Amino acid sequence: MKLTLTSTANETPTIRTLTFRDASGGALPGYAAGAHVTFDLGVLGTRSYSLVGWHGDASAPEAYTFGIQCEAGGQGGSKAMHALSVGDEVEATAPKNDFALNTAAPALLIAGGIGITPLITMAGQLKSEGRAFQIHYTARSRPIAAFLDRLNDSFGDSFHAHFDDEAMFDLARVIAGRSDGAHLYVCGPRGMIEAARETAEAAGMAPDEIHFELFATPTRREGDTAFEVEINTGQVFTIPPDKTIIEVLEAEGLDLTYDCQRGDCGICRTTVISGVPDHRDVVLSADEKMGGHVMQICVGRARSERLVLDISPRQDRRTAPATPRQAAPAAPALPAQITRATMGRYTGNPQAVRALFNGGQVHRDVYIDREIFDLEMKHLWSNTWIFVGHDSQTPNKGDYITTQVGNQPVIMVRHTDGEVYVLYNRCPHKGTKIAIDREGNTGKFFRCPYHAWSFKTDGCLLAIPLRRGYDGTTLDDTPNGQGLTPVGAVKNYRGFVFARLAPEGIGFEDFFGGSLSSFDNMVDRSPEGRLQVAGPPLRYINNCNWKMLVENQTDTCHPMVAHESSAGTAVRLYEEMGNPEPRPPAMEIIAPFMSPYEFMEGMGIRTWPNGHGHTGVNMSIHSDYSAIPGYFEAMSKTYGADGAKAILDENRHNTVYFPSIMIKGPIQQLRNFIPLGPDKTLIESWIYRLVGAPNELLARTAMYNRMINASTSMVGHDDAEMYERAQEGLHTQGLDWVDLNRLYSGAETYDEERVENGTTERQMRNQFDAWVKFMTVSMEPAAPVEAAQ
Amino acid sequence: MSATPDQIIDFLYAEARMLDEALYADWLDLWLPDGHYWMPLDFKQTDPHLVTSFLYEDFFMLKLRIERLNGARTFSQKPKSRCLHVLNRPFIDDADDAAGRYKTVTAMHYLETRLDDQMLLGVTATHDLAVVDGAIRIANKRVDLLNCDAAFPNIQLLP
Repeated sequence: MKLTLTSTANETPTIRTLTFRDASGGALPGYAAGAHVTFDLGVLGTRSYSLVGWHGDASAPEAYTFGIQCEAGGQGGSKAMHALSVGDEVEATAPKNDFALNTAAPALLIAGGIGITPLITMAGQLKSEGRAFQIHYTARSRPIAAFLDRLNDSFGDSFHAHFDDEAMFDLARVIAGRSDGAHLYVCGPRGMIEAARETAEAAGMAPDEIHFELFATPTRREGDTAFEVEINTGQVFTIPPDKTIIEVLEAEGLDLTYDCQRGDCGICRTTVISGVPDHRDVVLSADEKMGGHVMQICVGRARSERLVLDISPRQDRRTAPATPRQAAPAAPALPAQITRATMGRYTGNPQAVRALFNGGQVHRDVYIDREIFDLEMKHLWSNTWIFVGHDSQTPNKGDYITTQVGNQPVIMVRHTDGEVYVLYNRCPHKGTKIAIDREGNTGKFFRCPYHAWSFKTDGCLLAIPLRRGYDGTTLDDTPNGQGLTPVGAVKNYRGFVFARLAPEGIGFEDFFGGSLSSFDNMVDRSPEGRLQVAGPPLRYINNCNWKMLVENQTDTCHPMVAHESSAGTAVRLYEEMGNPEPRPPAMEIIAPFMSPYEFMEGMGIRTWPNGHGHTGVNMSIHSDYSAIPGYFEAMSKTYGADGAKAILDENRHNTVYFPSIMIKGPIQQLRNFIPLGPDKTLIESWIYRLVGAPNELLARTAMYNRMINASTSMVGHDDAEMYERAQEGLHTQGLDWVDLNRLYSGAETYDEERVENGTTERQMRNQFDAWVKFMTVSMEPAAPVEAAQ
Repeated sequence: MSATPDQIIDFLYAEARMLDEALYADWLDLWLPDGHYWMPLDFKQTDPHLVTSFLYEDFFMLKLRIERLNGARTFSQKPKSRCLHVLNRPFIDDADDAAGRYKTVTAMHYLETRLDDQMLLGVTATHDLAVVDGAIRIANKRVDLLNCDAAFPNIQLLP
């Protein structure tokens, strides 16, 4: 039937009384207390409101009156009702009653907030019939409670109001004080109904003495019917009245992405190819709802018999672009005056940067100068390939780790396509780090904890709550509207994941070249050709520049000096014990650090272009480890005896992958150098299991890690002492240059692979050659006028 | 051979005092020769072998550590570090008087200082004690750092 709005009255700032008469002037159907009318609000769906009658008998009402609260966070139904003007016509059903009064028993009526409306009608009827009742009305505060005066006037001593900001409502006492045989009627929010039901049952009331009506917009509604959903494969599913689209499709094995399941997060937004959706969410804008081309399938249903939805059996679909995102374009150059204001000696001055390395010596500014450090992060650590993590740290879809590339916080995550992505760890909204734990599983998407912006695990923006608030704004035209920004490039080399921050630059293979043979040897040492991370890394802080650590990896003239206190003492203790066999583990791990200069010279050093190099070409301090039973046999099975021998005869000591890591192939250890400042470096020391090899190998690796690299390591203590003393010493003004001249011929070039005497400092020079190259490759020279000054 | 709770608790306080006063030879004498001093890296770590620990030191390593602290070319100990253990009253979690075996759990503050730096660690020490020839000895000792997953500077003495 059609109803015409004939009058309105504001009861409180948010509650309005609406009175309707029959549009054609005819008689309205009668109703009993507790009844409601359902309005058809078009694309917003239907809404039901309780009839309010103060005088009892409503068998032949002249009008229908409703008390409607405008729900600010609602789905738009109450707002649409409030927007009606006197004279407007709306489609509505005849009254229906799911909340009827028992015909004889006394009544205890309890209302929460706007849930008072059906109870007014009940109280009116009970009063007119002279039956016993009490009506309790609870609200957050007096000013927002509608109908207070009229309730007092109408029901006198039977009426009791309770306000949360004045005194606690004692539900148990009210229920305990009910009349004998009274039935309980409760209308209000879900929490209140649940509490009242529990209390009533605890007080011994029978289920058929307890009546309630939920005052909320149910996503499942009376009158819902089954409909069909067809997806991209042509499969058709029937959605029964009591199930959502997501529930049915998931039960059929489809992989869907969703979160709130109440229509307010926006994540399950789905394209509608054909059919008419019945929107029940609060996320889509009015235009989107009217357009009918998208819907939220967690709550939405159909107004047509079938919906054809853009859903593939796998996840990659929806509103996100089909191809992986490109890194955001570089920010536009700063205006000239700002550039000048922030520019020191080296910014925009590649000539001055080049002058810091003269072949045999390097200027102390590279270790202590803040401006140089900032330029390193901006240029060197952005233009080169930096270690991120091992893919066994994120074996399953949604697994992620947080770490840094240079000084940039990033997330490494396994996407639904099985690939590992590296994303800047920063919400494009306010900058909040999206993930903060060092590892975890995020499911199918990241959700920012601040405002619930959500992102697929390849970074693409998935949803923003109240997305319509950005309609017509510039958000979509900016990188912020695209999602989490990916790094410039990612490469997974045999399980080791590297990133280049810069969108353009040298390729992975060009950058590392022949040095990848050290990774190959480390991974080939697994009979299955596969490594697996073993436990958390050692993490330690050295108060020194990151380059001191990197240089020390191929410094073969320090162990017998700096480590005499540990390695030398070990050798002496062992001799005092009479050289017993088997050797204590410390003798195998620590004692080789006392190897003499001749041994170090014979080890050899190999360098590759772009700053990479390794010690231990011919043999190394890792050569004399005892054989582990069963290992060679397992290796021979995979590679043949000759192949296995060739792999195991390589005993490379330390391989530097400039600038960020060092690996030890023979013991499957990786040290990650994370620069925190010119004088502060975080080191992570990781170990890996050789998949398919005996556990004894991993036990030795774990032992090496703790004996040499822990913050508690006797060997590490002296290294840290040297770095930190050097960091302090380099602040002296007496001398500007650090010497790297050992075995320098004066005519070196670094664009070819070379093997030299094991005590050369060529690898350190090689690193600074690469340092200059990647510091200056993207550095724009300043304006000619300034360069001339 | 059994020990009373007071004897056990006195022993634990005395052990801490030996470390604080750098009486390392006396401290080493408390150990049974096949014991291990274990400081796990991971929170609630169960395996000392196949993942990294800070320390899993046998008698040789402990002796080496102590010898090194006294060495002439131990550069990171010029000047020497000092430490202080501040103990809560130990819990005796398991007591087998017949076998003379006891397990104790002791919460403590561990302070270590050198030059201008001082570090404070929250530490829980778990001792396996054995009464041998009438004397309480350390069969094994496990030391858990409250912030085991933090990045540390040098920790040079024994928490």
